[in-house]
Amino acid sequence: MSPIVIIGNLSVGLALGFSLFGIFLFYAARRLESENAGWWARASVYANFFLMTVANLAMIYALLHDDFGVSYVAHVGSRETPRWVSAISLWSSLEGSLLLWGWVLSAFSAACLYRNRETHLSLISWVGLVLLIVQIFFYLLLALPANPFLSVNPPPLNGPGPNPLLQNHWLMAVHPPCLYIGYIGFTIPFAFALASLMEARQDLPQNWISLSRRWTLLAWSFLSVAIMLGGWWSYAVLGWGGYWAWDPVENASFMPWLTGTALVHSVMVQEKRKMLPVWNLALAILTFLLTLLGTFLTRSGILDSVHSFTESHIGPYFLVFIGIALVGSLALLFWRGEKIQAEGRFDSLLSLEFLLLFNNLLFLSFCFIVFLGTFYPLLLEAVTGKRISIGEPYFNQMSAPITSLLLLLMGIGLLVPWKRGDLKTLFRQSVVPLILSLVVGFVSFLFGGRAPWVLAIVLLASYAFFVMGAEVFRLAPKRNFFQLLLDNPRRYGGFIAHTGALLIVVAVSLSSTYEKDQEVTLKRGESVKVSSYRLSLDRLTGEETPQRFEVKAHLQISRDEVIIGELTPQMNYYPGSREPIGSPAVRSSWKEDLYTTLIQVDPKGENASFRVILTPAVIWIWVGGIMVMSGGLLAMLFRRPTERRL
Amino acid sequence: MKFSGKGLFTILGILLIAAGLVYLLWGGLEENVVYFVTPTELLEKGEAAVGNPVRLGGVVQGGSLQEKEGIVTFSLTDEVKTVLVVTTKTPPQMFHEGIGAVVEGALRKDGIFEANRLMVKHGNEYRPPKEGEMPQQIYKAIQQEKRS
Repeated sequence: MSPIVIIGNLSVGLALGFSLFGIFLFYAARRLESENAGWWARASVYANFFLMTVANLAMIYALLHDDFGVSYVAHVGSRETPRWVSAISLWSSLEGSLLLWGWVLSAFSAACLYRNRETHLSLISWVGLVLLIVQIFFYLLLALPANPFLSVNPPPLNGPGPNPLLQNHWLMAVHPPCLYIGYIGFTIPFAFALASLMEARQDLPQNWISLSRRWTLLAWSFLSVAIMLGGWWSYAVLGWGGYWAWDPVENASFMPWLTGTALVHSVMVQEKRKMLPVWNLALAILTFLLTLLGTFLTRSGILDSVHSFTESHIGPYFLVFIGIALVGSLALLFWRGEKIQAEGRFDSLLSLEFLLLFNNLLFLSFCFIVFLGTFYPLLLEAVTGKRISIGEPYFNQMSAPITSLLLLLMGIGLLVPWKRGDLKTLFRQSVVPLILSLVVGFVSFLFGGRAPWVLAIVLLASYAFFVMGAEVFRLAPKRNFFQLLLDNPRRYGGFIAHTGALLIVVAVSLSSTYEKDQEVTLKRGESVKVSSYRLSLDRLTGEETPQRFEVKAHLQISRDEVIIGELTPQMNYYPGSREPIGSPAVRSSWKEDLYTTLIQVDPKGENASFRVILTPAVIWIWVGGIMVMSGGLLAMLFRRPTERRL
Repeated sequence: MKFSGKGLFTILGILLIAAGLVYLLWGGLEENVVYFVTPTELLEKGEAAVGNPVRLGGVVQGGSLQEKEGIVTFSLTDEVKTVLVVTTKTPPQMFHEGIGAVVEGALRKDGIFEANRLMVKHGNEYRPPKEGEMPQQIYKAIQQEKRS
């Protein structure tokens, strides 16, 4: 038996034991108000973090050393796989992903309890207790239905290697960990929400918001960038030329993002105006439940999707846990929620707090629409046996008006103060941004952006952008943007994130509306004109690498009869796979992407078929995603000026 | 859930949004539902199936795949009934006889299914193929081509 098997199972088993022990101790710490019990309880959380670190390192070691005596390695490892791919195979399949999940969760829990080690003993005891209950669920999965550390005897000489789709691009090294940090991070605000419900003292709602604010922002920033990276991966690997298909698994990550975004906005209402306490608790709970639901969708195999890499037995476990979490937190919300009263009141319809509430309702409606589109087919099939799919048009048709309203709110919201604003000031401050956005709208109309929804989105997005621009410009004589950022990182970090969001929305609407797509078959030496580009097939080559065989089509790209470069879309044949995996080749510019995929080659190397797609503005989606994340992180990392003064 | 202050506005806002949602959903869901059918289910509908976009899933029948001047025809079967499919799309490399496929399109009056989208059904769980299966052959063919 491989020593890794023993180390792995021992770590998971001990982590389970420490979790149970810790739950008991946290309860004792709360009941007896015992600092001592609190100390031991926290120690058990740290111990879990240590044990999960050991288990993960052991698995990575086994993967790097092709230890096929470990079931997970026998399942996803192979001697030919490049070593960096072997290392990231940790998250290429179900059991390994859950192992990483356990590690990230234990790290979050340990960090959260360490940060709050000296304050709010009673509240934090509940937080620790909730975190450990969630941990127990994941450790149970690792110990029973999804154990990656089973012993394989005798070990095979070689394994099949990870799913080829997952070893085709470096993005696979980044996307899943970011997604996990995002998903799992929302466990912290959930734990705080339940804890403050358990306590249900009037001062506590305020406390949980300020104590969990940074964790929420951290999770939200990572989830944002993870969704963007997922789109990028889909674009760069799958070869269909798009980045988002409203696939159920994509929706699974989008739904908690929508409620998480609502939460990030509405916590401000509670901080500044002491309103919506129960609403915020409900949002934190809902977001966590949606992350669980998302994992269930992705990992249970109930979906027939290109993403569902797994058909496994963990589905029922997840359903039971989601059920417990749902019923438990709803019960708490109804039982204890009454005790938590809002102190502030709405004064006016034209106030930031009201606009933020409106923003929240929009984000929730959006989430509901996505939820319905995702689950209606599943439900219908379960009930009537009919199989349907709800096409992209449904989602696009639904999201366009909601997105437009959100953009409008974003613009106005930046101008309206707390408590009570007045229309005159709003109009006065809107004049310049409005004129500028009309200019932008007119220019985009001239350049051919004439679809009504595209125009509406461009107009509203530039209005919001110029509102922010006007503020920065007004303050510019005194301070540059960097100083502004240091002075009020929450507001100006928010500006960066909002600008990123604007870029994404505009780029998505442009690229989805004005995409040009065609299929061409070229003989060697032949060429085809696509818009202002000319593509000619130079030659087809084959190349053997240790883990695969690559067929490359060398396309010469010229523009206005001047050669500007070469694109080599390729097809990869993995010895362990039935199907070749295409790798598209993309030429990106700030204006548009020229995207080519190899669909078919004849084995003699004389001709090949391609899909050639010309899509405007795609690059701005990636830029926007990075801005959203950095804005969120900046708002999180810097302290508020008020905090600094204290 | 309790809202303090001018609860009226909140309720008004919620009602407004709810109304908007219902209005959107009413149109959206009805129009954009695509049914997934097998050849048997499609043919059972008879005339009613003509012109209605669906996803048709089945296995590409052996000996039926033909390509002429960019027009691809093949038969999709569910072992009971068979539908002739015609498309101008280039099938992907992995597309071959005997493979599971899903096509999106609609049945024409002449009983031929016109597809505007071709999808090969991926295995949900990645399994290494057995010896002698297709990819190995293509792999070897290209390898030999390269050597010669």
